[in-house]
Amino acid sequence: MTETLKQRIHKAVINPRLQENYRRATASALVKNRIRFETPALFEDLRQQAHDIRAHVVDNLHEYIDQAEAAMKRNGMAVYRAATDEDARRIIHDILKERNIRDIVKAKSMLTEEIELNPYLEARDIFISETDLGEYIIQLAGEKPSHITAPAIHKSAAEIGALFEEKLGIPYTEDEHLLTEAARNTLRERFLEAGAGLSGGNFILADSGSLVLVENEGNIRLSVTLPRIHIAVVGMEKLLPDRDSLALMMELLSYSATGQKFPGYMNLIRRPEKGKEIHVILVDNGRSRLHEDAEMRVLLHCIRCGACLNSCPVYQHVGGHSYGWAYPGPIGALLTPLMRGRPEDDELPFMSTLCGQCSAACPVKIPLHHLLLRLRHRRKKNLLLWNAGMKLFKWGATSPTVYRGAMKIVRILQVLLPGEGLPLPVWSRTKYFPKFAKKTDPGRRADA
Amino acid sequence: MVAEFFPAAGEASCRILEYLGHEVVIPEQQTCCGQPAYNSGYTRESTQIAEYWLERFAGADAVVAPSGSCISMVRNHYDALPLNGSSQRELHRLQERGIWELSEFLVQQLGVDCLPSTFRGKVAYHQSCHLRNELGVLDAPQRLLKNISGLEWAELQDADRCCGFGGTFSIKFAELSTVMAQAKADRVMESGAEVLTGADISCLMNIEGILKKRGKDIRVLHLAEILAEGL
Repeated sequence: MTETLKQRIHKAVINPRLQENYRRATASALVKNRIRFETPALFEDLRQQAHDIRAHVVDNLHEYIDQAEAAMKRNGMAVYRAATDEDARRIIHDILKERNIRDIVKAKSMLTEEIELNPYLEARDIFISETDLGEYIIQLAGEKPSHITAPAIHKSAAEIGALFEEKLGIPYTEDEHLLTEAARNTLRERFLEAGAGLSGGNFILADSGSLVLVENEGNIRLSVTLPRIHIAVVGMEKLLPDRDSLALMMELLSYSATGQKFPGYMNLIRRPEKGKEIHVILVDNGRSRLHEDAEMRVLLHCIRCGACLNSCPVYQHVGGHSYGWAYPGPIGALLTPLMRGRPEDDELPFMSTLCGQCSAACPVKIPLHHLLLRLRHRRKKNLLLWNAGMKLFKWGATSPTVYRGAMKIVRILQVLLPGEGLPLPVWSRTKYFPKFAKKTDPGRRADA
Repeated sequence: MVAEFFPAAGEASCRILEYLGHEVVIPEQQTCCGQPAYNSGYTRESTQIAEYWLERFAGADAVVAPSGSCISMVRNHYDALPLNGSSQRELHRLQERGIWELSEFLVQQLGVDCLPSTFRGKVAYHQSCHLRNELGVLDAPQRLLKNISGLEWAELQDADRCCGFGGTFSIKFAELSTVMAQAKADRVMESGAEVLTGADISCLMNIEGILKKRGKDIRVLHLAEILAEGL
């Protein structure tokens, strides 16, 4: 991606259709969520419990990984640990190559976006069919997902209608049912032809070694049960102790993601059927580094529900693609610089008004906006103009003489300026800026 | 901000507190809480400003300000700074005594949610993010406003959505900040309000910046100015 962050933002905010698509889609998710948690005390209580469970797992992560791995192996699954994205890609490709599989179906997985799996496999002549409706749309359009749980959220029904007309040769329609039907018809055969099904994983239950896959469309259960091979790529932190903790998590995940009381399907996969194989790849790819970072470790609590995206006023305007990596929104503005860490990612923690809606919405109580703030303090200060500005600001704000002098000078200068407001650089291009009040005296009654 | 651009909000706050029988002291030589430096990631600069601020407010019985954002900086974020020993002690003393946003102080601390204000007009209220999400003040300003007998309430859609100011965010990401402020201004205009109010000057200045640029004559007043009318 050669565009800069500012260019991506510009492209998004001048596109009124995109603005409308995001506004409509995120508003509906928010409204549903609010209906559910209309008693803030209930939400607070549930998410505190969820936070405690996630904190317990993450604080004892290595023990839980060992326990889960042993349980899955006992169940007859093959378990791999991938230290990097490159390792994960290679392990998956090796499994396919050894079995001479050239044709796979894929259920929705953000982790495969993180490790950039699709281009890697496609370059090695593996034919991939995305089977989640949103992912399918994105794949047809040659784009990337713009949301963790709703990958095609940036597209309207009209755009999808035009896309399907062009790529699938069906008559143009905006009817969601007809569009879904068209996708379903093409995908049916694919499930039967594919040599392997690839999925992510919402959770792994450490005690029983069960893989939990949550969905609404039924495509995941087809993807992972019809082909002979099932490959699951799962972040190594996505563990829960047992079924009891899963019940609580499901309630929060489901409501936070889509406002549903329970998802359409919840698959618990424990052991391969006779003659079939299940391969589970636990991916690190920077998670160990996060785990060692005392201040940022709490990010591993994330269950990828997307609530922080839906509640974020910045996300709603810039959209998912502006963030430049697999994870957009507040969680992406944190994970991208911490896990991918390219120089251009340093700007992301600043792309927030710190309004705190994300932290208020997070079902596992990650203090997202405070972490954004903390990351800002870690960043190397290499912008000379800002450095000088902040030095001046500090100088004025800690010396009453300098402060009063500066204010006096500004007041004298502004008399000379025509018009109502002050012509401030940057600001005044789009917004009026008030002039300094004629008279002010903060010490007015100090001795009264 | 209050002193330099909107002294009326500060004066109104004093009037309300004095009406309720409190002695108001405005520490001389106070400047800024340092939030712009802190939010931009400048640890050293914000620490020095915080230490200066704590010296100015040393010994106060309680601190009240007509701004949720400044109060949140002192109450919630000074702790994260490497302050010197005496500043830390003063901070903890003040945290125990109480560091309050004005409406929070009136409603939650004094139990006053109705003032005999005489304000007339149709008013829309913008919920400032830091007041709600940092200080947990959910409805104190709304209660105070709705209890003014001559005040007509204009329902503001998405009242809890950020106006896009975000301090230095509005300079670093000026284009994005502008579309966010424009969306907020659209909702204010749709509400049919004659007056827009809120508990934070910075948000109000930001939204007013769009309204004035559009030539709309919707008055923008701080909550304190409305409450102090007629006291």
